[in-house]
Amino acid sequence: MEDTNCLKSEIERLDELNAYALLDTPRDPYFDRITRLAACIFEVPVSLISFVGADHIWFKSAFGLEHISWTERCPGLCSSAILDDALYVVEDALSDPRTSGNPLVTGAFGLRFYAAAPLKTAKGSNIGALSIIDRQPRKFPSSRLSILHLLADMLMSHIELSRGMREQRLSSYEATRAMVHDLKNPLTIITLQTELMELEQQVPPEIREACSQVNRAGKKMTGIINALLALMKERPRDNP
Amino acid sequence: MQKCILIYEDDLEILQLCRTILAPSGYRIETLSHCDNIVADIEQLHPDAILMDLWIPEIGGEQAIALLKERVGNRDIPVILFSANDEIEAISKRVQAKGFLKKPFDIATLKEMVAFALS
Repeated sequence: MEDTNCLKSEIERLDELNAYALLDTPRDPYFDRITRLAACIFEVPVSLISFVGADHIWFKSAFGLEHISWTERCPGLCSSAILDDALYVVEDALSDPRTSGNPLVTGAFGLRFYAAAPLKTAKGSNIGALSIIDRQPRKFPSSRLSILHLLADMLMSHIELSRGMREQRLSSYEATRAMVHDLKNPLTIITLQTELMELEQQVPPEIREACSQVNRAGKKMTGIINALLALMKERPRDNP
Repeated sequence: MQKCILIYEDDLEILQLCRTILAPSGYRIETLSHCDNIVADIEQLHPDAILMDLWIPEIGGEQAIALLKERVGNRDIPVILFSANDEIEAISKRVQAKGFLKKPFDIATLKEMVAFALS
């Protein structure tokens, strides 16, 4: 039963992550500023913003590891950091049973210190983490580490705002497109009705000529609407 | 024998215009403003061709045609899809309609398309 619940919440978390359209998307200067700031504040060589997908972790920003864009979910420590809302802190990875066997610790990378604040969405899913990494053991007072949480909250505010703006852009785009389409029904009536009048021999010539003008104007409007729809063919970017 | 054209369109003015344009050609014109009971409509009206609006309550023209084609006996009834949707050509192929009419259309095109459907 517990396994089923875990799977369900992981599926919900992944759905939530996908809704933000952040996984596998390019680097972004705003995210890079946050990791740079975190690295400066804590005087560490590496800071990451990671999003945890179904089978890999995507580094949206990687201060100090600019050449890396993703890693497997295991051994990525970020997968553990998102399991809880609290800060995940490993002061000395070699002596910490949670990490002492991790290849990032035992291998060439030589990770010793790791701290991460989860990136929690408005709906309560931890979609990723803001982390700081050092190659030597570090110890920070909890008051200073709380700054990492603050930075993660700031980042999430930005992410939520970007998502809201993107959704608003998409929804006004869809509404405008539907309205432009809807103009074609009255135009069908205008062009058919005026064409019928033009063909009606009992209608005085000046009225027929007026109908012809309205018909030509209707066809011109159709051309403009089609050009407008062609311009609107491409939806607004999905990325924030 | 008089051919029957069944037109589904929720805009009553367009429906009336289609009737005005097509009736003088000797067709029996039947008009409906929703397509929810398409299978029952076909059984009752025995159309030789169907003109179907794409955006029509409640189920929409695409789903209505799918329902129609579920019955083997109905599969040969030619359907012309008409819509303001600029993807009408692709949708028409997807639902195996015999043809499509982009709104707005003119009288000649409507008549040609109905003749083509009956050919």
